Amino acid sequence: MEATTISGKTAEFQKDFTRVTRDIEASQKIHRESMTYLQGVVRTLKRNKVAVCSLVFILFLILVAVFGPILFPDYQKTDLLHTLQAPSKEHLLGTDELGRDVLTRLIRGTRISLFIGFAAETINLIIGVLYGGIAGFIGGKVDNAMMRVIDVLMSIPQTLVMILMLTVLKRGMGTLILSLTVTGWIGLARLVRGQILAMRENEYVIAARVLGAGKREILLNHLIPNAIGPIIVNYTMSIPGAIGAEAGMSYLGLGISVPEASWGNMLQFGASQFPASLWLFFAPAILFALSMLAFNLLGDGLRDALDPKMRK
Amino acid sequence: MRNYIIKRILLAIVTIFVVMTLTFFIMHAIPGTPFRTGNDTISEESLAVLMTRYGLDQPLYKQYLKYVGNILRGDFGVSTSNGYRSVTEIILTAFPISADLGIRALIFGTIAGILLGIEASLHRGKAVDHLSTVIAIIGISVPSFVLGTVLQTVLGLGLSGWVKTVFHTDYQLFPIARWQSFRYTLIPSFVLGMGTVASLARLMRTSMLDVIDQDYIKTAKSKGISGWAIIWKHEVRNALMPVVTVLGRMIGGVVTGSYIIESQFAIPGLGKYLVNSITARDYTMTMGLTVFYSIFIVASMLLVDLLYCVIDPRVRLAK
Amino acid sequence: MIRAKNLRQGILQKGLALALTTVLALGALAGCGTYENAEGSSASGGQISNQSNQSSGSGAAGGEVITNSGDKVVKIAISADPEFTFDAIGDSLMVTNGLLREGLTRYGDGVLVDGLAESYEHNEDYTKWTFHLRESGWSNGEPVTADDWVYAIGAMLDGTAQLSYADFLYEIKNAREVYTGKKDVSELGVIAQDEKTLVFELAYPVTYFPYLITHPMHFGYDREFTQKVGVENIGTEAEYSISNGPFYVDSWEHDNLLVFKKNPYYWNKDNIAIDQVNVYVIPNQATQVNLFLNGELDVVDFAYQRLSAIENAGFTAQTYNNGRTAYLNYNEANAFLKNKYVRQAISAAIDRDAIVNGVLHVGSVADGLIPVGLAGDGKKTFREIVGSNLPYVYDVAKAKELLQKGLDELGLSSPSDISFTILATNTDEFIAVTGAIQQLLQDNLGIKVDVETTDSSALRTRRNAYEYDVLLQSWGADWDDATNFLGGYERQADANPALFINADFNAKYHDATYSTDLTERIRLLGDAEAILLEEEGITPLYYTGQYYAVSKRLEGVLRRAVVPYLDLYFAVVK
Repeated sequence: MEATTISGKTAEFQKDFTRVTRDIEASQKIHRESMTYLQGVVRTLKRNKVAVCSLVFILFLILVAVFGPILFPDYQKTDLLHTLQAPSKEHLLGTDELGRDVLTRLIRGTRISLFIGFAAETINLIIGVLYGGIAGFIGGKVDNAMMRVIDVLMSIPQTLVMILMLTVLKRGMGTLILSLTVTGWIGLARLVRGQILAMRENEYVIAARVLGAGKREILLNHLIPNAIGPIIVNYTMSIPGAIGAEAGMSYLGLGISVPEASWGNMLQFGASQFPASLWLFFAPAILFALSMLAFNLLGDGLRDALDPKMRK
Repeated sequence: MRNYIIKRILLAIVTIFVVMTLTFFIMHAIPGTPFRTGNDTISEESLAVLMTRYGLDQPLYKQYLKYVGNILRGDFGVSTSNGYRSVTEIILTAFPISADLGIRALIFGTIAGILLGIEASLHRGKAVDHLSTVIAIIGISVPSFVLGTVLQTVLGLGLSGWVKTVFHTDYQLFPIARWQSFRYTLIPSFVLGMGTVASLARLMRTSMLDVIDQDYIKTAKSKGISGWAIIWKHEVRNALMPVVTVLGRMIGGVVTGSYIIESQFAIPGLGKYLVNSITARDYTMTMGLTVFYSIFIVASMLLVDLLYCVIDPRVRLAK
Repeated sequence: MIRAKNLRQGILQKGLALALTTVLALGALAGCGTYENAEGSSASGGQISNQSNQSSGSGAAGGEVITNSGDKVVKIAISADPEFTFDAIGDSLMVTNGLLREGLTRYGDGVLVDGLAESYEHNEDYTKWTFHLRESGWSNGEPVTADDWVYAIGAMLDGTAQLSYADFLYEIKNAREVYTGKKDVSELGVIAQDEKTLVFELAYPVTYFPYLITHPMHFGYDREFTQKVGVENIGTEAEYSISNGPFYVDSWEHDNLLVFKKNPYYWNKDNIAIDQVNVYVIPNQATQVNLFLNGELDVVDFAYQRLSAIENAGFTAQTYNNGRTAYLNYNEANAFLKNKYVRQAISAAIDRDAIVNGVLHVGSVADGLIPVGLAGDGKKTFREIVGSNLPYVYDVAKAKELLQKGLDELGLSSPSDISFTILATNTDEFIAVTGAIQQLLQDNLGIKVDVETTDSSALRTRRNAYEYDVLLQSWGADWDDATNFLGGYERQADANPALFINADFNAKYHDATYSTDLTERIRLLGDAEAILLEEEGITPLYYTGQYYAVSKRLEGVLRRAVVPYLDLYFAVVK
């Protein structure tokens, strides 16, 4: 029954329409502008408002970290007559137990904490990519041996390693960064190795090999660029981890030590005063939380942007 | 399969041995001696007597051989910084409590993390999704001592005080500290579990989004299976796989990383020994803990890998 | 790597279910079963007491139910698991010396009161002390005898028992020789004349011996009990500890709770008003304060920032002088600091008042090395007899003048040519104080100072190796006498990190040691202190203080400058 009605209607439609011949050229034309991978990434990222805001905030933090301490250099200036003052016009965020201006210290702390985060994770990035890349690419016995080294490192409790480092070596920023990199690169190395192992079997790599590409060329031109997405996401998201680890070490008295300022030691001191002198707690805590959010949300945005499958 | 397991166990033993050796030499390279080191001064002469008595004036390799010998006989020695109690006994007393805290945190973290991740993935891009992201990120990045301090003061002290004035009872829903009954475990497990919640929620969300795009989900939908059945039977079950693999690695982290919470909530766990023994140059305690934790971590990783074999036949083929 | 999109459901379902069940079951086993029953049940305190029950017999009464109705229970907190070894040092001092084992003498409120010795006498030159013990018993029913002291002190010195600070016992004849293996323990100057008469023969006159022996290192221990449980076990579990004092350790859950009960064999048990003391191990001070505010502790020490919280809750905040002096120690091997004028300038440039009132909010400005409250001749305290001994008090003009002299001698042109590092332990107190000193020296003298903080173990090693320029440290009294502070500067060999050697000081100190006139002796020690400070071998900064509060139901709690810092011996529960 249905079928007859439809065929009847079809006949009627044909009266109102004219047949159009197929325009082969037009059907071949690509209307969307051709776009490189990077352009695509930027475009997707731009559409993600949250990620853009995060990026702007992080850029702002970097500006503060670079220029702030130059404009407000007196982060060590104590004033024993005005200790633990609540926020006021002279001290927008109040003063600490030695009468130092909290805002100035927060600016200085931004430089120190961001530096620790970026430095430690950049080192981890380099070691992790090289180690994982080499293991994954060469494979076989070398890979096996390299993975055993990772096994050993992973079996030592991370806390133990960090405390040992900070006890053995002269305490300070350098040692702290070093202690964050002793085992910090392992996760990335495993990620990179896994990616490369998976990709080595992909058709385009096999094709490249068949076409006579050398190992080096395959690694540099095919494997690394294809693995770059997860690596960048991992990098962005691990920076807050490093900054947070410094805060944790501050609780043990092993972080950046006063009179130097860091988010970690300010947060630790603020928490030790809680619930008295709340400005000492909330000033670093809010900035800290916002920064953590920004790095992670940017990481999320980058993941969506860098992964072509996720692109809409 | 059996050969694989034997090989893995042998490798694990070698790993633990290497870890032990490394820690031994690093510990002994740190300046300082294990004898009490407050502000008070001990004369060089007395120190020399103590060093001789404990064999610490011997060449390092001799001390090492003696130590390895003792360990092989199951003797971890006595802890110089803990009233000369036996290291084995300290670990056996304190570890179950750390493990208890860790497992509670892990259970809370797993359930909350998975639910949060599912919820976020089902409402991708909506308010729920953003909120869960924010919770997850705050949870993973705010140091536990901050969260612990706030919850202890606000829920522990503040709420109890309020209950006392309003209802005239000493009942505490959230006790301030110590480790007694279920109520006492709520805040510490929550604080320690937040990290797990955060990572699992994010992982679960990504994993769910991956699964939702799969063909078999479309097939299931086209077969007319109801929405909830698809979510629970197909999407969640499949998306859980990567979560399980991560969970195995998390056990080690959660159980060894609870020092701050244990100290804040006066929980008699193992964390403080790890931290204090290094500062006190308590060689025997540090070594004992390192070996113990290494065995624990290696064993839990081994377990997870074996679980892979059971779950995923491809791993078996690959080996 | 397993990637989610490659997974196929069939393979997974079983494994996943298995994995989750395992995790949950593990949780049920290790978790829920352990503690949920603990509350309100007297059977056990859960896991911990189960463990200790396995290793021994007693201690079964652990757990939560310890507040039997009608008992007068006092709840206090300590920050770390204690150690009840023979030498009893560390955090446990606070507890043990006041409550557990008793010495031959005991501290009351500022004066010595009766301990286990009924009476004692000394020879003319204070080198031989004879103690007559009273009828009293150990908590296991054994009588207290003179042999307890002969055994315990001998065992510590000959290496049988643990001993961390042998130096504390060196006033006893042949103690040093026994410790270093040059003489047999039978030659030690601790002799049991009969069961109740104990004689100490000393290497040099010690007029303050009755004060010195309040330190637990001079306490006895029962030989038979020790040999029964093994000397290496003593004080590590409740059942391996006995006490001859007012209380004994009834149960002990490590890192958690110790219950002290009244010793039924103690001679003065009828005058002890408390039935039981619960000692909680609470590492974090902020947590201790929260517990106190919630009525879960009877005494608490707190930091200045919690002052308003304590007062708002209706408690009276009190302070006590805990008998420590904080001071700067100079390494005189440093090219700048070996100059006396530079050191004097540093002393005059530090505004001690600002540090005490602006930074610490508790304690008092130091007027010498010996803290206020430390005993003198038995009638007046040391500081009351000697008065202030601080030659260079805060005076910026004077400081600049002194620095100029120093610069001239050193041949330097400007203060900025001088630089050094202050080393201190990484406690909150010292981190704040070093920050303040850094600023004061910068502002008042124009000297650039660096600060380095580290843990106490590393600090001690560096101190002994003289790897520092200036050391900020504090010294507390172990026994109630000035020699406790000054003794270290007499010899170069032992506890003298300042490398201070001065013939006049040594002469005065020697005269004081051999003086048998109690007041004259204190004066001589005061003169020695004056020499040390005039030379600025060290620069005293402040006497530390501590805030504390006591619950309203407790009275008669004593806090004092020497151990035990907290004494409940005279306390009464309302």
